[in-house]
Amino acid sequence: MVGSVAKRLVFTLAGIRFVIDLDHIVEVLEQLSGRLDSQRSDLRHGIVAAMTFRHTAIPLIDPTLMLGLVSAIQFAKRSALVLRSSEGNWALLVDRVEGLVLAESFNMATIPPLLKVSADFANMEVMLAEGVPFVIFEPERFYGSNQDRP
Amino acid sequence: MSAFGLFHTGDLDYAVPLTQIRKIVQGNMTFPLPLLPAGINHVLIYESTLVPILLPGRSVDTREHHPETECYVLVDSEYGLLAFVTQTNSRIVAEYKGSLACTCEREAPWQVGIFYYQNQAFKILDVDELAMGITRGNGSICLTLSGARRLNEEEAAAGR
Repeated sequence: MVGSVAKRLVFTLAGIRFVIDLDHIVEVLEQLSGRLDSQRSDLRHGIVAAMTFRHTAIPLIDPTLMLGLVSAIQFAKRSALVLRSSEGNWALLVDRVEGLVLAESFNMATIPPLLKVSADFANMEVMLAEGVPFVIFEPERFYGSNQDRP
Repeated sequence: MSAFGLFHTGDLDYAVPLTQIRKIVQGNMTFPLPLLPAGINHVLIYESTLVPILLPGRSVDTREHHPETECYVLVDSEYGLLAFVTQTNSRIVAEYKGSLACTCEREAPWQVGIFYYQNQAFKILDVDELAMGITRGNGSICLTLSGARRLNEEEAAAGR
């Protein structure tokens, strides 16, 4: 849900902009080569590899699998956000990290009834900044015991 | 006095009752979003609202529309605002300047009639039917004539 942090991190997936509260983020990794073990994947849960982070293997989750998106960027050239959860750190595969934006720059977008009838879309929240939509990324939907399909 | 907005896109000439037209906009940026209902790939932003874009007469799989040069007609439906793609040569015409024909057998579920104007036939859109098709997950097949025929056949087969 929307937090009260002063800034949010913006990243892109398949040309779509997402924002995430900084509270969730441990570290941003832009170089993934040498860190990944694709043999340890579990695609049913969106885990595409194990990623080495601070001498520990953590799951790397590709959210495009659950969001029905297709990234045009090669796997190894994408970036990862290391996120904290009650079950330990995990990593989120993203296309590109765009940077930080002041939280006050965003306003909630109105979602019309036509889009709310899609159960998948109805669970999402979208914010606007300078006329551009940003999907609020809720990590708990993608990893952890409370994981829920977006 | 009633009037219609007359529009063109792809192979389709279509009409929308003026009372349902909110605005015609040009040059708006369009944006993809994840998990949109079938039949909708992009939205535009109008007054802080996400407006789903429909491509009547075109397959939604084709990405041949050019947002920077195309117009969008914003239309009120029972399910909120919709945007239809149109070329820039749209016009508003009073009903008495043309002639109306009701289609006894609908060529498509979203067509309620035909408005003839200057030797051109404009299919009158049933905007609420189109919107309902989207809500039922039939958006992708409601928007093309061939798809509409398929929908009709499926409904006939289901005994509805």
